[in-house]
Amino acid sequence: MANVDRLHAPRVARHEWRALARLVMDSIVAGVVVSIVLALAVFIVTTPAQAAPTDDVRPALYLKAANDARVGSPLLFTDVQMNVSGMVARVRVEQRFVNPTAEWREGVYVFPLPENAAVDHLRMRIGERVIEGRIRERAEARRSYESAKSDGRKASLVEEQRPNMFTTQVANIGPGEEVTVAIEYQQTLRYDEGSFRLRFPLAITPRYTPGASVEPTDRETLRSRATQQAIDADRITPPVADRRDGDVNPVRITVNLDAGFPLTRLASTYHPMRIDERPGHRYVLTLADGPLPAARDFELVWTPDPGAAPGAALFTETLGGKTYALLMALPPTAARETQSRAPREITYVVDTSGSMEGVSIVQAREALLLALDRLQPGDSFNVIEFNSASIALFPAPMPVDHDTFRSAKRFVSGLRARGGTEMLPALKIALAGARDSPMLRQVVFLTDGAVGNEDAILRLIGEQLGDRRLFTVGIGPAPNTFFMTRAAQFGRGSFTFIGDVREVKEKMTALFAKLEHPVLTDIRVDWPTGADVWPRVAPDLYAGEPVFVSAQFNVDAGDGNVAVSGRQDGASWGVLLPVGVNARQPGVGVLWARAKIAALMDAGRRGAAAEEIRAAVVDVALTHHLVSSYTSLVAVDVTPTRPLGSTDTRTAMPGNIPEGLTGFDHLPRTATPASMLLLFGAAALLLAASLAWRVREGSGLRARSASVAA
Amino acid sequence: MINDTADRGGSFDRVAHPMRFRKALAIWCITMLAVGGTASFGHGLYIHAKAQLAQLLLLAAWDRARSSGAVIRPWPWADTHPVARLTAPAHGVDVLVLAGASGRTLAFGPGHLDGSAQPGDPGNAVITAHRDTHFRFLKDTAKGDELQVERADGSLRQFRIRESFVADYRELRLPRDTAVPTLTLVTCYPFDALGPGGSLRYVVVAEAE
Repeated sequence: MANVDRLHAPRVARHEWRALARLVMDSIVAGVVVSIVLALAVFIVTTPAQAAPTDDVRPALYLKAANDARVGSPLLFTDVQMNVSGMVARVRVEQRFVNPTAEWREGVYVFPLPENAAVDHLRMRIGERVIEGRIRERAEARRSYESAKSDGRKASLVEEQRPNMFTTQVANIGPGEEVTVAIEYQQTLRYDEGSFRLRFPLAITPRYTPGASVEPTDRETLRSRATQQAIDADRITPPVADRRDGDVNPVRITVNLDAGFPLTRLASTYHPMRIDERPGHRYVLTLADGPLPAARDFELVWTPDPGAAPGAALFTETLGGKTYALLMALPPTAARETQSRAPREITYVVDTSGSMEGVSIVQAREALLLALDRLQPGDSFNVIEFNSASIALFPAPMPVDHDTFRSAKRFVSGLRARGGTEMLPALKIALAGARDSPMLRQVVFLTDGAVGNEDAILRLIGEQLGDRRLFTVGIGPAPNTFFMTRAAQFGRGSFTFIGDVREVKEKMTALFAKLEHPVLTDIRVDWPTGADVWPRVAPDLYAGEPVFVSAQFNVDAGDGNVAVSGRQDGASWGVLLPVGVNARQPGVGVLWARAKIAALMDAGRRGAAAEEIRAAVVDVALTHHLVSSYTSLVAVDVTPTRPLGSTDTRTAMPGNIPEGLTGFDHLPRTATPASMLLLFGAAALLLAASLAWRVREGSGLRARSASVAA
Repeated sequence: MINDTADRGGSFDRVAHPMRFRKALAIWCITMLAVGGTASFGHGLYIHAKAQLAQLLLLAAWDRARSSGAVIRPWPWADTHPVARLTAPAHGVDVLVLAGASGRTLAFGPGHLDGSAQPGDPGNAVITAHRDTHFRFLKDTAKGDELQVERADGSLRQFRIRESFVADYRELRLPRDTAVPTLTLVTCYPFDALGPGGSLRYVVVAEAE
């Protein structure tokens, strides 16, 4: 018996096993079929529901009027030509306004320029005719523009809204006509960490204008109205084009670079460029893929060969019996003391407002996490985030230890962007407490600077800084460069820009060098007697930064020397430059005037008498043909072209939302599959129950018939 | 299918266990359907239960946040926190609005769109929620209905519905800056569609009084 069992057992087991395998296979097939049937059912049931008719759609102002809005507006094309030589760039920006409509139009375009641009030229071209712009006091320029506009004459006006934000207006563009406005400016280049940087802003991150409204909302345009802190809110918040309609304002960029020395690197940071090398360290660069939408800042970086890198240079220009001079001197970088840096108190202030949503907040988080890793035992620190409200990680700076470090990391990792940009309260927290401290105190401020109340914030920094140093990190595709550089200047610190998350490490490392390196202070520049020097007091310098000062003196002041000196970590540094043998450079006079206007405006922000500042700015701006807060360029045609009886409709030209910023485009899905799941769950259970009932019925019947047979 | 399986079966099965095999398969199908049905039904219930239960946890976090003034996470692993309490007195609705409007957040409560104004501030605060859970009540709202927002600082703000409309989200333009504090509530449309995923949205715009 036992033998038989042993003999039969494997056979039976094999059969059972095969049956089981087949059962599993069949079950899988059945399962797949059931899923497909269910999925089909879902598809059939839900599709008609989605396509439910919506006759009651009343889109109101939340919907864009119609696609023909684009056809019904003037179009804009921009052509930028930059000529770079030595330390100076001369740039021509041509804005071509095309009116494809059948009506007369006025185009208003708000656009960004570099924060140190000295705009000194305007030329309006209508077909073959060219009309030169003239510099006038702001109100007078506007009057002559408006009167030309109402007479039906063509006119254009260039006004400064911020040192890095200008407005072009072109009146009476006829149906099918095209008017080109060419403006020119001069700027000094940035030379830092051994590289030259030329930045050309191409988009404006929508500005937040804090303070209570002093005007009612404009329902039609939904544009910001004047607020107590930004009285010109409506002029600095141009409309933005909707990305889903495609980008507007294509821009073409050409750079003629006369480097003057061999280069080890030449690159466009954010836009691919075609580089043609010419003899004598000259290069011609053009956008590799043709015109691009003006949606993110352009930056060109070039690094001279270390052996040929300039250490000090003096450029001059003689105009009307005056000599203008621009001085650049680069102090030697002291050996780095990596091991022992003095303990310090660092406060990180980070902007988490709505304009940071998208790539910017990611860059800010990465940068902050890197900065936290830089903390050392003995340091104290705090992190403050702000949007509509400010939230500080700790009530006051805390010593670095395991717990504070971990909670800081968690705090930073959880940062998200939303709401307004109430910068003042956050800076008040960061700059609270004693004005002086035995400890070295630094504030690192990460933001896109997308605010309209720059002056109020700069004043606060100037007043409450004490012995602290404030460093700014400009974040995102189109930061407010005027605010970032000026806040660093008022904060006696330095600035850096991060435009891409891949740059975070490199840019932050450079910033750490500045934060951790001794500062070069007590900088003195001795000019020939009687020189008018701007800025009056040279700012302190951080690792890799040169002195930049401009001066004006009488031609007969002679061929003396310019002496530059400073102190770093107890040691002194100095350099002597003869005025006689130097490079002549046209445009140095304009740069001097621009530096003087900037310094005067800063004095105004610090509280100098407004009327005196205005008079001084108007004086220098009119003499040097410069656009400023108080002076504008205006070009007016002589003969009317618009027929009487027709009207010139004002149209605000939209800009692009900077690349990578999300705005309100992404609405999430707002329905759950719950109803569907409940329905199919119930259906499946019902089916299972009925099957089970049938199987039981069946076996019951068989059992009964078996007993009957017996 | 059952017959088919039996026919393709080996001689051993066909001869010795035709009934047993058919029954086993039937039982297997029943089990499948029962397990699948229970899972599906349970998941459906779970979605609703999560939406309701999370609000209880959120309420506790909200009360603590209001008394301490800090950002309180409703549960330790939460990646969001309540930013406002939205009530619609006429509809018996009282929900806590969460920071961010990701799919994960919306399972627990209405989500405040990152980048939009804080509810009650000047500007446009955009809040979205599921049409079959927290924002089901939008279906019954009408122009002039009152909405109320309580903020983390304890302040209250009254809103009144100005308009409601249906729009395709691909064409929806939500304004960013409005001088009057504005509340824009967005949910999917139509309300009674069985499955998720349509492109229509129901938009309710309310303005501060």
